[in-house]
Amino acid sequence: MKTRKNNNAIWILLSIVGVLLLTFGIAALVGGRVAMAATGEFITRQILGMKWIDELVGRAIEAIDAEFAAGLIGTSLRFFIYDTIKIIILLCLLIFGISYIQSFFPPERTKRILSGFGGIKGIILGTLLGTVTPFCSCSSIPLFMGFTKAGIRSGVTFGFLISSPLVDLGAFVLLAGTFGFPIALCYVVVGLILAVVGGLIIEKTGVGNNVRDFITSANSVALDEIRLSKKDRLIYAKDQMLATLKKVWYFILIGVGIGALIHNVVPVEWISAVLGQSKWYGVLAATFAGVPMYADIFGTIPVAEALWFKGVGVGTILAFMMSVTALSLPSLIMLSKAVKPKLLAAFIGVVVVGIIIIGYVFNALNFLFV
Amino acid sequence: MKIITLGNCCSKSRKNHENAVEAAKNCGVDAPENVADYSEIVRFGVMSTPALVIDGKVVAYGRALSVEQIEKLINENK
Repeated sequence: MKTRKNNNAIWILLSIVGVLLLTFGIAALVGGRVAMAATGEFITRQILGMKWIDELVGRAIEAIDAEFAAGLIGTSLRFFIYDTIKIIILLCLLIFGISYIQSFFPPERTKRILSGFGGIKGIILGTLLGTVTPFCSCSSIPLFMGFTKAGIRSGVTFGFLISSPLVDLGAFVLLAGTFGFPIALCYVVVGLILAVVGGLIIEKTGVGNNVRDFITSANSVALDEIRLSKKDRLIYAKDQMLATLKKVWYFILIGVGIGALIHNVVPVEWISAVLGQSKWYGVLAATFAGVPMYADIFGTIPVAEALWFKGVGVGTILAFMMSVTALSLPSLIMLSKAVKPKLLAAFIGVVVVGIIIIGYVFNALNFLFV
Repeated sequence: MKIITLGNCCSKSRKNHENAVEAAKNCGVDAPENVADYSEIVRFGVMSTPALVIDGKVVAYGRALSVEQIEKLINENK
């Protein structure tokens, strides 16, 4: 029965990949290479990027008053309405789909899988499972206790803790729709590398053992797996979708609002004065601006999108998005109850330094993306 | 029958407890108890709240249950 359930998850993933390949395959048969590229662009722009909404909104505003539509407020309004609709549609579809997949990987199961692994292999596995395991700051303490009691190494736990908020499928799809596949792929790959290297450093320096005493003294048992029916999973996915929407809708409005301002009102010169390519402190400014900000990746992307159109380098944008999502005040407060200050400082330090390095490396490679 | 709900950290956990109280009333069993202490929660092997425990056995974790779902679990474990 257990293997059948594993198969279900794999089939869902395979069918998504299958449909994508089929679309490209048909395009390739009909029109060769050019059609393949066109299909790729169609998927990015119209399906993931939903540019058709932009055009509809644009026409609607023009129908009211053509002069207004071309003006400052008109173009800002157009960006605001388009981006809000796009992100909310994507958010609902993505969270629903992702939650369904995540229902196959509760932390209790992740713990059991991870307890058999150590070293670099364990850290990589922990990082990857972090991307599919549902995680909220509420569960960080019990998760920490459960992992530690199961004998999971600190590097594996921290690899998991870094990658879990930073990288997920939703972020990937949304980034692909906004910036195209190359940047989305970069975000995911460097995010995973950051989590693996961060986990390695925390474990190898021994700083990872600085957890609070009550964590190690707790008793814990392995839990029998509870079988969920398809209906249970659909209910779970629906609940997650509604709860997420309720939690992040104002982040999205604020994010899109700031994005619309940057997009149309703030002069390019201001942006490039602070975050510009030629300025050595651009990445630092973006990272430190992002750390105290608490927003979902869904609220961050519109701001990043607007900065991108103003010519800000890809490294600066990655640094900004990563520092907003990877470190947030609520989860740091929870974590500070579970670990000693030394480990908390090491965790923040490793993540911040990692993000800054990523920022500079990608700014140096910026020419590849523009 | 002893019903325990685990977790009192977010609105999901509180909703789960409220639903359990109502389901217990509908089924005519003792009112559920809520456990919020992390050491206690981990003792059950649970890492993702909310969770539901019936007579010492964890029957659901990581998701909030509706009144109907809890009633079904109570009847199955009677």
